[in-house]
Amino acid sequence: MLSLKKFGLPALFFLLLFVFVAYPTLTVIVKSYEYKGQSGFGTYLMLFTKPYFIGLIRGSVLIALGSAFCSTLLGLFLSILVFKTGLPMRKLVLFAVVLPMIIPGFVTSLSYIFLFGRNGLITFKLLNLSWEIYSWRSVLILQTLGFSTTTFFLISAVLVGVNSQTENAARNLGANEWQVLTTVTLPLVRPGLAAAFLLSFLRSMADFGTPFIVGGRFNTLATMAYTKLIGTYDTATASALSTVLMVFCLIAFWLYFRMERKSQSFRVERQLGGAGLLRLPLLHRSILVSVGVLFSVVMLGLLISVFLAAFTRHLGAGLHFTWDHFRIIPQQGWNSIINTIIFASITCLITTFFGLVIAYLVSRVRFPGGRLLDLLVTLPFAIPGTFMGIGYALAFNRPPLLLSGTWAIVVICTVFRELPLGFRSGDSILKQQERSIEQASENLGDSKTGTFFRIILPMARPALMVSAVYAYITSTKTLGALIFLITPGNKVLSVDIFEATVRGDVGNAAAFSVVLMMIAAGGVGLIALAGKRTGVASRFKLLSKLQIG
Amino acid sequence: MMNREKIVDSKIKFIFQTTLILLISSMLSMSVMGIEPDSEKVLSMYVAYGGPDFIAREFEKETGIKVKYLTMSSGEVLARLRAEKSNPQTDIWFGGGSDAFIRAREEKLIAAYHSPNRKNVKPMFRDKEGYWTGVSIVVVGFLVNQERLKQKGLKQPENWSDLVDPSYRNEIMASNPNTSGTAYTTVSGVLQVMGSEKGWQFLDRMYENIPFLEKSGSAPGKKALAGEFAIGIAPDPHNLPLRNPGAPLVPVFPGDGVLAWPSPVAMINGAKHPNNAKLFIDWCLSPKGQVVLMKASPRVPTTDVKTLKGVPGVSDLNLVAYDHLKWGAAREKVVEKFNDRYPQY
Repeated sequence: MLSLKKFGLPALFFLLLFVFVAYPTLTVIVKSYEYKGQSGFGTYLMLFTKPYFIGLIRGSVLIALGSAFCSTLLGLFLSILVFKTGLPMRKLVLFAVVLPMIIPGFVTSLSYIFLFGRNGLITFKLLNLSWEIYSWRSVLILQTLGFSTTTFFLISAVLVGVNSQTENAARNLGANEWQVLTTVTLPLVRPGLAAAFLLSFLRSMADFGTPFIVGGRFNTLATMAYTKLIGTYDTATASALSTVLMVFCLIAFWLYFRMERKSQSFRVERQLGGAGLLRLPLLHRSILVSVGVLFSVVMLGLLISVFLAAFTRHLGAGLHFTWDHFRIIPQQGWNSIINTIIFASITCLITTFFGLVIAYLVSRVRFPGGRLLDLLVTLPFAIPGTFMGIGYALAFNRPPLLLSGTWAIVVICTVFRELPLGFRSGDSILKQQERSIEQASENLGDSKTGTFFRIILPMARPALMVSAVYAYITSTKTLGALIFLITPGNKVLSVDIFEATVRGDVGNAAAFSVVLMMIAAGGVGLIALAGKRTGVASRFKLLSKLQIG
Repeated sequence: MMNREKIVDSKIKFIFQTTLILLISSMLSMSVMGIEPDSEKVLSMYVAYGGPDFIAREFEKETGIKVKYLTMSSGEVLARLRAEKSNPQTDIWFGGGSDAFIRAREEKLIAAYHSPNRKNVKPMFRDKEGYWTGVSIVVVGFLVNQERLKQKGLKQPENWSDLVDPSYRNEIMASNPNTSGTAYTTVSGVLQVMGSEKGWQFLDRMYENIPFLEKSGSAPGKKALAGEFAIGIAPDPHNLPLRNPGAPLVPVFPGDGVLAWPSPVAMINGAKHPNNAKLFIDWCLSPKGQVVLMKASPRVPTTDVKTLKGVPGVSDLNLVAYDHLKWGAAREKVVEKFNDRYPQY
């Protein structure tokens, strides 16, 4: 009886994770081990002998390395600008840097074409340049901009924790400001840099919207898997491509995981005095300022041009105002809008609550297989969205679990994709929690369950709000995993935008995007409110933990 | 004991017989009285056709049946139907390339339905055994953006043979035959007209001018509309200029042969709302439905209704006698050859 009570809940989570994480993953791997109806490594052999496939891997990895490097550098510059200088433009940069949170990557791609395309407002109309926008360069630029939020938060979380006394000690020993930055501050931030690099690498590998829209001829493993599945329904090749892609992602994630643990064991002390500003020389300051200004201008430009594209007739005809693109919403969009809000709300409630429950089980209630549970919950984060989508499409379109076509499969998929977020935020909440209060509750005779509901939950509420809203925002934007699961009855906005983009209806896509951004922006507003009660430092810590969406 | 068992037995027998009789009689009465809508008044469609929202609304007005639809390319529909074979998620496949419907018929993904209105459709635009029926035909031509053409100092292309001119390098946009019916018809149509060897050589030179390929057949025309490219190879080139009266866009029906294929409607095998699906097919082929379809997407109709202004009739065009049965069956081979020949896409 006691053991049932103790192990019942973990066993239930194990069962669910096996069914909805391990089973679809294995289905894809098994499918890739199939060639023309026979089992064997035929598909892989076929792939590895084709030069285009080698080029595909090289392209994907190079672009991921490039984006990871550039976005980490950009994140570092912006982070130093905001937290280490007293420059007046910090607010603007801070605003620009959270924009990618509400603008989905493929929407940025649209406005990017609008501004810098072959007939773009800036490149063609203003400067009369003709450059080939549809190439890997555009993918690199857009991913760098898009991932800068993540890198900024990860680096900032470490940077604000750097003890100003350490920096002062260096100053007292005669170091100038540049030496303080390069020999004291940056080495201390290194774990944050490495984490930012690895996460960006992972996200770039898994990103499929950006190369699809602006890549032109440039294909990645993720886009090719999509084309193979949607174009010719070649499940074996699509699965093999996705499996290769996942191997890269798992390696990057494993390195990130190790790095994170290392950076945690290397604990930075709580800030005592004010922010430790650096008085950098004029040259360095002006470099930082120009990076910050350029970044903010481009981000704001991209945001504004989404609205321009939504309210003007079409690129070729100049800028004439129209409501036309929004007409599609009452005709087909209400359904998607309602679905988006409902699905995202359900997802964020479930993931935040159960994320905390699982974190509590893993860290406070000892049971066999705790590490395995930890791994299974976190795994979906390392799995590329398209891989997970293919897995769900293949695994759940036959009995015993016939879920395809239902709204449940969409929600289940987003829940398990977002669960790592809830789990990690729960974990970090529990780590910051004072153990003695829990112990006091248990010593006074309350059970673990009672302690959870009466002590942990109320104390964690403000932090939970932040992570819930974050989960809400990321699930409104989800595309890669859902593209294979959507049927006429359960459409969501992100897929509507993608479809309109593929059809070439830029105006409709932009109109849908405006709506999606308003839904997400409402969420960001809530984060800001919730954040007021948690304080800047812990909010950054938490947000940096959550940058895995 | 024996008696009681017998009584139970005969009771079961009675219940069984009555249900059987009821079932048969209801089925008979249905076939006599025409099709009644299903109890659930909804219809789910995969659509590769322009203006689906308008069509859905008009059909609902007429019948009270609510239409839910998802738009995608015909290759995508085929992929989805295959994936959902054991548990179909949709009732109707509406629009796209006839080649994909021919494949779907072979794979038993669609079901036969002899709509009484099929007699209005010319035989070359429908399947003999009723699996699919063309609601309109799609013609392939060019959309030319005059402004961009002038800026780049280019000549107006009039024929397919003009597209291989090196001066058009990187100014032509087209779609990918892996996913687009328009692109597949272009490739196979060229092969039919020029023969295999000369056809591929021609395509080699044409694709040199096209920097990359779009997934959807309608996207290249929209890129020409947006002024991103001078020329887009597009289905129904008269369509976009009609909808965007101010745009500097001119449709070109190539003088050396216009390619065309029927755009069919079909019921899905195992549809959850079969009667609603049949009503929809009847309606599409009725004079009233044909006018609605034309208003939604100004295509050349397959029945004898008057065309809208700006829409050419079948006799106005130099149509190639495109053998859609042959090329529909050869699709996989041709696409594979395409992929091997043009690995850059």
